Amino acid sequence: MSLDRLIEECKKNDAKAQSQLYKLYGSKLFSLSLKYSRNYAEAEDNLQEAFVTIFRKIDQYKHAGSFEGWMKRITINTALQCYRSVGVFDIINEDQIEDVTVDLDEDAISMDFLLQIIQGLPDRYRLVFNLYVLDDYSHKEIAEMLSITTGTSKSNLARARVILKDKIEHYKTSPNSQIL
Amino acid sequence: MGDKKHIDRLFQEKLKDFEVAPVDAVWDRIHDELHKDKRKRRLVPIWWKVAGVAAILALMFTIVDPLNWGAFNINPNNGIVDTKKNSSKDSSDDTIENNDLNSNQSTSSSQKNKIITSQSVVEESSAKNVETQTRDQITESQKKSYQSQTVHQYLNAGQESKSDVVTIDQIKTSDNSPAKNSSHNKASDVTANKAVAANSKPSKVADVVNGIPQNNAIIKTTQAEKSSTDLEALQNKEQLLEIDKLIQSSQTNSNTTIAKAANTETNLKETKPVVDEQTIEDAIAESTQIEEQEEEKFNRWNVSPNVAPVYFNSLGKGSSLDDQFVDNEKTGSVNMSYGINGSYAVSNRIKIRTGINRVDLGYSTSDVIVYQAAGRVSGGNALNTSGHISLNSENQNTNLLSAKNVNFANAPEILNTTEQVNINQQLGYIEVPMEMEYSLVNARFGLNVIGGFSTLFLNKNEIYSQTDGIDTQIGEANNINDLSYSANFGFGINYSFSEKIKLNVEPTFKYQINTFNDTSGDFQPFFIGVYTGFSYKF
Repeated sequence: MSLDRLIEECKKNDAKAQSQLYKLYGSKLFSLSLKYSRNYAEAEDNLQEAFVTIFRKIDQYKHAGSFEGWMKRITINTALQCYRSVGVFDIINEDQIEDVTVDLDEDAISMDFLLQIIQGLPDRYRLVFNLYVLDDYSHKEIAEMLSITTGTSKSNLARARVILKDKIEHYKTSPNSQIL
Repeated sequence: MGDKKHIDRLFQEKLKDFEVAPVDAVWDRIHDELHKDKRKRRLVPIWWKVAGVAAILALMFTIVDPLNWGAFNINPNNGIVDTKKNSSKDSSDDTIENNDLNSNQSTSSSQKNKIITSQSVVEESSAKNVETQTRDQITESQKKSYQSQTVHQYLNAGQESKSDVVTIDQIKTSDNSPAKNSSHNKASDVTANKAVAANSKPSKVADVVNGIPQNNAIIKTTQAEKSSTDLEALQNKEQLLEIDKLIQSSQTNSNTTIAKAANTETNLKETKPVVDEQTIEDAIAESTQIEEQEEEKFNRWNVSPNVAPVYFNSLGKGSSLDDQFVDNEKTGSVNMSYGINGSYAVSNRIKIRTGINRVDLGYSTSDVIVYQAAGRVSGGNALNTSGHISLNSENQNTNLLSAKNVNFANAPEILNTTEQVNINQQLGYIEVPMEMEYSLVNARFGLNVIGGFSTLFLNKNEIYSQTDGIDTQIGEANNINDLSYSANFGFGINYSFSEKIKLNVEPTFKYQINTFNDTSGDFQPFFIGVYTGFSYKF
């Protein structure tokens, strides 16, 4: 079944088609959720909410632009909504910080570790880092999405980088110690 | 050791192919959430069917049950009704009795030549015996001997001028008769009356008692009495002479004895009904109970035509028309509902009611720009003109736009020049309620609570644009279910003009369920009606 056909079936609220679509994109959107969430359980909740939204609004998808991108946006928005309502953003100094580079032995760093340290970031740092670095949003877009200024977005990103760098370096010196 | 690398690159490269499959439970939850609505919607009709079946069963049982009582009560019922007739004769007492006596005088006068005074004495005594016999249930043979004994006793007692019964005869005869024969006759007249009275009473007692199957023995006693009186009449004839003597000797008695006699006479009359009264009371009590039951049976059904102004609105903020109208101001309109309801009283306090009503509902959405344009016009944020509205053929090019969403500064000219109007959605339903009414106060002024459900069948679905009071139909909504429901709750106040006619005023809140298959925002329709009408009790 082609993707378009599958989408059409999903628009009819067909359970089989929905299940198939989930099988196709579940993993991708779950990993996305994992990056934006604090932990595994939260990511599961986010994925669930995102897919419910996707299926409920699928008739609004007009085949303009990539379907995957559309679903990713919904997943990210779902994650953002969660933190928007929590309101845990702390007031921070918006000074610019220099670009951060790390010495690395790439093989020594696992994906799981990277995910772990991303999840360990303070909520807004994590969101900004994810949006900017991993999902290619501009600071302007991020500022709109999170109702912050671009300055704040940039500052948050820089701080996130510093934290991540520290953790990676700490991990390299004692890879078996507990990180978080 | 590798190269120095920008941290962003590290994450981008490492996490590029990062993919983790979620556990299956997540999909189950998603599936449940997506399809729980469907289940809910399905649940409602199933619930309804069950409720309907239950209501019908309840109705059937309440109708069938009285029939069962009827089967139970038919025999005792008939018996009691008979006794009631008899007992009413008795209980209407003295006057009727006197009438009886008078009417019986003539019949008894034909007998008097044969049986003369002794008969009366015998009969009176036997009447007394009947009383004692009914209590003691003496057998026939015993009774015969007993009766004859008492006759003798009475006669003897009469000689000793102790027996009241005898003195009655004595006095009456002494009053009226200078000559023996005529005195016999007249005495027999009076005494015959008494005899009749005496006879009539036990026979009535017997009649009354017939109704209650226990006391068959009494019937026997009355039969026995008759035979015994015949026997005794013969015996008494022999003693006639003695009685004559007695009468002569008692001629000198004073008026005070008359009074005494009168007393004893009344005593006799009164003592006999005592037996009757007990049975009469029972009979009356039972028969009135039956009457009440019958009355209830006939008064269970009620019919009430009613009319109500109904106000329609939504509990939540939302729109049944389109996403863009969620924030627009909405005004519920007041329409009319009329119909006829029937109710069945399950008990004094609980009624089940159903009926059929016509309901018109409507509400208007303000600040809407309606304009004619082929194709789409840019400038508004949400130009989804169709929404949940299917435009009719004349208005295919009509566009609806919420003024709230338009940035007039850079909107096309057409939007600035177009007037903002109200969009009026009109719905009509045939409503079939199934409600229960519980009365809190059951007097001339009544108060009751009403709860239940209605099934609503859509019969009108129109959308108008409203400009300066002129309505133009532009189409219909395409998200309204043909079949929907409402949960009803209300209070009823009624005033009884008579047993049969009541004025009812019932403010009722009806929360609509399953009205729309898709709404924007949180649109929870309800309507409030003040149902007013007269109810007629059958």
